[in-house]
Amino acid sequence: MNSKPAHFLQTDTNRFLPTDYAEVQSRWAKDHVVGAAVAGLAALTLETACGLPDFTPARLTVDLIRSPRRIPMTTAVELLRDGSRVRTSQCTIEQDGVAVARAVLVQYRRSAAPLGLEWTPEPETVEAPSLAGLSPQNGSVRQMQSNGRQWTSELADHQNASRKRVVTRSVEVVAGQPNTAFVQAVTAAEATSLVTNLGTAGVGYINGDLTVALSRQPRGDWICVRADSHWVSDGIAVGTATLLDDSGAFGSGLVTAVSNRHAQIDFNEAPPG
Amino acid sequence: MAEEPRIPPGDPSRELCEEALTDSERASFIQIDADHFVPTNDFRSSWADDHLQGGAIIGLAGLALESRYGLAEFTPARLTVDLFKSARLVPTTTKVELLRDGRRVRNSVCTVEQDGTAVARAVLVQYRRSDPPSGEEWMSEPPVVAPPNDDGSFVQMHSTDVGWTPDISDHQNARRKGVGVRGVNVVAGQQNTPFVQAATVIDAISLVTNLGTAGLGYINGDVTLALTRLPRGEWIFMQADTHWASDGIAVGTATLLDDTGPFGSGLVTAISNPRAQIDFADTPPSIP
Repeated sequence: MNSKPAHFLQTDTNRFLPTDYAEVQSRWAKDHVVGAAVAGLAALTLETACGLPDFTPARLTVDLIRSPRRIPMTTAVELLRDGSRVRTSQCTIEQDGVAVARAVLVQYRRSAAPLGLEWTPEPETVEAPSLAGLSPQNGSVRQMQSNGRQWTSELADHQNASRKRVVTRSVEVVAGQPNTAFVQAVTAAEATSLVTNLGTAGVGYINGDLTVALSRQPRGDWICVRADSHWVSDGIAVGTATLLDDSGAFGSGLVTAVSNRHAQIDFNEAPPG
Repeated sequence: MAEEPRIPPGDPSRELCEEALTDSERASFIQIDADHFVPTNDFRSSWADDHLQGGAIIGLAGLALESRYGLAEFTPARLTVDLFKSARLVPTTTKVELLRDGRRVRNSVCTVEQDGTAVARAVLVQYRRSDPPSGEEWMSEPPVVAPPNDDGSFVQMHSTDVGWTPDISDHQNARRKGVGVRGVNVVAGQQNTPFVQAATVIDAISLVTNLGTAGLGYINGDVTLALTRLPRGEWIFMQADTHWASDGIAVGTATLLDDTGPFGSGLVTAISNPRAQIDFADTPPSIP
């Protein structure tokens, strides 16, 4: 018996049962599954079915088509392109025969860099806070920091209009299967929506997608997601973030989100139960 | 939309740029029927002579999806295009499918085919416009874009200490870059919509994040265009925000702006392509 927290129990080759850890812990929705669990399941399924050792998973885009519920999920994979340098595959996640998410994975073969030097932002390092002793919330152990505030695990401490970053270590996606570096990156990058959309009144945007782009796989046991940009118009938000580990930046996250003002999550209010 | 005829953008070769100035009526495709398009031979890729520019295929996918599934109260918020194969100058077919017909979210997919083979696949996410949620969130500082000189060019680049010039080779340096692009009509005789305009120029995100001291050595396998609103005016600008590279794989992000400010972000992944590095100091572009 594995005692580590996990989002899913695998009940068949392509069938997964959400656990308590996959459930959204908020008043937003009861009985719904967190986005990180769905994105993580898509990442794990695609990497398992289509990953190759000489290739890096360079982009995963997950479209969240319907709110996923706490009932079994099935996965179906299709290889769209089997190239010598580029492999593209797609995963559909269904519940009761209806697609709830669709994900595309682009993998590139690793090779030598081209000639010359390009601009790159100033390298930066993150002094990550300790995650020891913290309990998972909505699928990960995490601490957040916003300008003028220290690292804390209470999101309510960061309901302000300043720039944010979060350090996470995700729970296992499937019980008994340690997350790969890629799965770890995808589940962590789901916080792109949190770091870009959390404001003075909580989170009022719900993301309909997640795009994770990686130049390399992350190292170590935590990932930092730092807000880079946040643009809004007409109740539509676009956010980008940089993904960092203890050796620096390794990729970017991007989300688009739509105003959900009737079900705004205020972290000052206690979750149900 | 601007009333002036579009000046073809995209192909960064100066030679094509000069040709373009002599004929602003040209477009990437002639439309045969609802789903069939023939390339006009006007816009070739810098990578190879018989290849279409990425921008033409991306614009075509955007046009096919918007014209079939666009709705007045929705904003096209994200277009992701996976470029499977180099598109050639041959007849091109679009196949579209609506994946989700939601009250607030609409998802659709377009496959672009040539000779029965998929050359690109695009996903469009549309959101219904509404009131913002309660409260205020952090907003990034919008980049300041001084408009380029209006010298009739269709693409201008900017790099730190160089300023705006229409000559890409002026920006073969390791400094942060911006690019301004004017749209090109995807289909002859049809003025691009603002969304199609954004789709046709988003391929320049690879240029603005990947151009270095030896030219452009990464070729992008995808583009992601994320919009909070439709762009206004004739020019679309991109300012590089990040560029991360390891093992011949590069990830870049950029802010998208028009004359009135930021309206979204772009993201690109790309792979090292050293055998066909484009050095813009060579004219015409060298294809070893």
